Amino acid sequence: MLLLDYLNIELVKRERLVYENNSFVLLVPFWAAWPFETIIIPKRSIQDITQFTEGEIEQFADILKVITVKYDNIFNISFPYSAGIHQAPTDGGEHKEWQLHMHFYPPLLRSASIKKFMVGYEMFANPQRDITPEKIAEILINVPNEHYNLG
Amino acid sequence: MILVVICVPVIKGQNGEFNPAYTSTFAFNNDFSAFKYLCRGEKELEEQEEQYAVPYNELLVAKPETGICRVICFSPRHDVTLAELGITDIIQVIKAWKKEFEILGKEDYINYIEIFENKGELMDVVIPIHMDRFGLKKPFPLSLSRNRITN
Repeated sequence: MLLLDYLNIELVKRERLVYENNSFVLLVPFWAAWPFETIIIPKRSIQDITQFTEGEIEQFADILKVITVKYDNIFNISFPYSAGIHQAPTDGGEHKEWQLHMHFYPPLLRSASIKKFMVGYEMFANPQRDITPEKIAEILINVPNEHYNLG
Repeated sequence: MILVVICVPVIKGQNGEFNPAYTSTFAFNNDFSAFKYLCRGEKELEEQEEQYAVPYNELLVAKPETGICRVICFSPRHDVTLAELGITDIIQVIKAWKKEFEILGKEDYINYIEIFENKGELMDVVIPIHMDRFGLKKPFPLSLSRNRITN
C-alpha cells in the first residue's frame, strides 16, 4: 500500500518524524507545501474510522492532543489550521487500497501574524517551501507537549 | 458561510429549533449546509438532478450535488479547542466521528464522508465555536481521486 510504504521510509529516515505512539505516526510529509503542514498515518492498514479498536481510539486521541498542543505552543497562540480525515468511500466496496490519514494545513509562516500566501511563483508555477520540512519537524519536536495556557 | 448561534448549553439553530442540553459532544444538521438537498434514494436523486439541472453546452457542465452536512460540537464549553481538551474528552470527539461515519456510511445516497475542522479566524471561522463539519456527497470528490492508487 502506497502510504504505508511511504510511512516505512519515514520510520527509517526519521528526518521528518515528529511523534509516534503504538498505533499512529505524526510527521511533516516530504511533499508538504504549507510551512507547518503535518499528517497522521496509522501504522497498520485501516480504511476508515469504524475499524479503530478501543485502543486505537485512545492512541488517536493521544496523537491529536500532541499535535494540537504543539501547534499552539509554536507562537503561544491558538494556532489556526484546516484539518481533515481522508477515508475510504462508503460506496459498499471494500477499498483495501485505501489508508486512512489525517491532514493538518496551517496557514501561518514566520509568526502569529505572518501568514503564508500561495502567490506569485506558487500561483503561476508550483508551490514552494519557505522552511524545509526537516526544520519544521525539528521545531515541532522541540516545542513542549504541555499547553502554554495550562502549564 | 457557516454560522450557528450558540448559547451554552442550549443551541438555537437557524431553523428555530432548540437542541437539548448536552454534556459531551453534540451532533446536528448544519442549517447553512453546502448541500441543499437531503436526498433519500436513487429515484429522488434522479428527480432532483432533472429538476435542478443547469443548462450547459459541450464546454460548460453543471449538475446538482446531493448530500448532508452535519456539525459536531466538541464540548458544551464551545470556546475550548482540541488542544485544551483532556484525553478523555478527545476520545469522546473521536467516538462521535466514528458514530456519525457508521450511521451515514450506511446510507445509499452517501458514497463519501469528509470529516474536517477549520480552526481560527485566519481560516474564516468568525466566532470561536470549536466543532467539525461533515460534508457528505454521493459522487466521489475530484480532489480525492488522485489518492485512489492501488498498491
